[in-house]
Amino acid sequence: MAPSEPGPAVPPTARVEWPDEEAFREDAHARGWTDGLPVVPATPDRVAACLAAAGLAPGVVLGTVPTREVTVTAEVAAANAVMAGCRPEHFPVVAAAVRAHLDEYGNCHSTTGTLSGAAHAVIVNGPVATEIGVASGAGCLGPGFRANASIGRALRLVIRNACRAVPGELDRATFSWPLRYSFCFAEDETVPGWRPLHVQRGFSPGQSAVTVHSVMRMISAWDSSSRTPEGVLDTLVAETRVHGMSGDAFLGDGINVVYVMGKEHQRFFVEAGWTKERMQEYLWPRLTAPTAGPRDRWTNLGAPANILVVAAGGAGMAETWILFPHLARAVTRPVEWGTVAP
Amino acid sequence: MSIVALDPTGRSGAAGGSGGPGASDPAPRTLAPRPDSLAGARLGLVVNGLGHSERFLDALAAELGDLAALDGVVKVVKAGVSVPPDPGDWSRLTEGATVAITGFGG
Amino acid sequence: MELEWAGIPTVCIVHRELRDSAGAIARISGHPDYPVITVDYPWIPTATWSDAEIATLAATLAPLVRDHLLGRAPGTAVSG
Repeated sequence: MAPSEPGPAVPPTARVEWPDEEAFREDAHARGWTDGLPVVPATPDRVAACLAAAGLAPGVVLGTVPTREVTVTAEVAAANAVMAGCRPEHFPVVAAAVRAHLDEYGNCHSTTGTLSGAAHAVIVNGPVATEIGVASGAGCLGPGFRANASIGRALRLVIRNACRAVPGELDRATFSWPLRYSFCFAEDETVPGWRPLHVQRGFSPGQSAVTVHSVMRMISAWDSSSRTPEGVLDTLVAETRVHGMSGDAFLGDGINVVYVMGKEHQRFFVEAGWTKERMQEYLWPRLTAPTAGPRDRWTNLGAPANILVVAAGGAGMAETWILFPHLARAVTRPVEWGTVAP
Repeated sequence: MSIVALDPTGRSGAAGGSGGPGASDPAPRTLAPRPDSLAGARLGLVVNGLGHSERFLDALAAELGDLAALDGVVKVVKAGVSVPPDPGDWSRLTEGATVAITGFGG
Repeated sequence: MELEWAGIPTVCIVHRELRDSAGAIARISGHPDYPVITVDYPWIPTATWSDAEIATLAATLAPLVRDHLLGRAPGTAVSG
């Protein structure tokens, strides 16, 4: 749906009044609207500023969760974005992330309700990352970066508040984990010859896009011994196959794995002139070869193109993070700036 | 100074009380009428694929068949744990079953 | 729920640990008091049961399922 198209008639989001901000903060906790941390009041002005930044009318439907009778409008998403601490310029990325997550193959109902407590990685590509400060370098997977923290948190608050994924109710996570507070980073697109994820997925380099990937497990493939592309990739294969990946008939051949490759690994590929496609072609037959024992599990990947390699992180540790999926595909949506004033 | 903010759950009319899932649930609906007997009933099984659920439901259907003179079983195995049956399976189920057993998990 | 709306009496089997989630879906669907059969430990929530566990549970549940389908029992809990 183009961002300037109005959606079906949706009742306006309710407004609530509190005597002061302290009362709001305490009541937000009492109502179950937070992730345990304080939230920013989603005043009408702040919400309007987010909608204006994205050029979205309040009633535009970003997605639905039919099983839960949920419809997520731009206004509701913006309210959660404000609460998460987003600035208006962050909201177009949030809207794209919500659209990606609520895609049929983002499988919200499954990935947000599962006993396994899957998280969701929001991967940002294109010029918007630099424009709004989504970090892709040293420390980018951790705290300290306003855009990363706010955008990732906004998606999680949408999931909790709008999509009803409340722990003990529709969120059945046995443990859950800290990635469910916020998980957002940008791909490092500064290395010449490295084709960014969104370009691989059909976007032009000048476009901006968001990929949302469900994360059931996040494992470090640490390898400081290898000095060749093959050596690094063989380590990724071994670490991936220890855990394996399943899927189901609904997802078919479309399930993805994401490798977040740090600089110390990436440089071997750049120096040797390997493209991402060559990496995929090397990895796929080795990942999907028949299993050979109890710590060598089936890895369900339909094609080499399902293997997504994303560069991020700083110098130092020779590692690549493996983001194992839950029951969803990695879905990419464009970041758009519409023309409709709220 | 008072402050007005939007309800982030998006369920309009949720002012006051918890903003959780119960805030604006639909009016209660009625269940299907229950039969007086299972003799001649055709049992529908909706398998979500979780764990050994299919084997369990097969065993349960067999045990139920020992208790009642069922007229057969219509089994649907969903394509995914958390997705509805596809349209073809749904038709088979609603046209072929007169009672059903489902499971909830994940 | 959709089966009920299609006129097919249905019994739902839920592990105790997932009762709250099942209740949330039931409430959202307009059936706040939907009767379910609850399974407790030693049967584990992920349904990765042994053949013996499957056989025992099936034999135990069958009469309860019959009663539920005939509208004779409001929600019942089963444990080992």
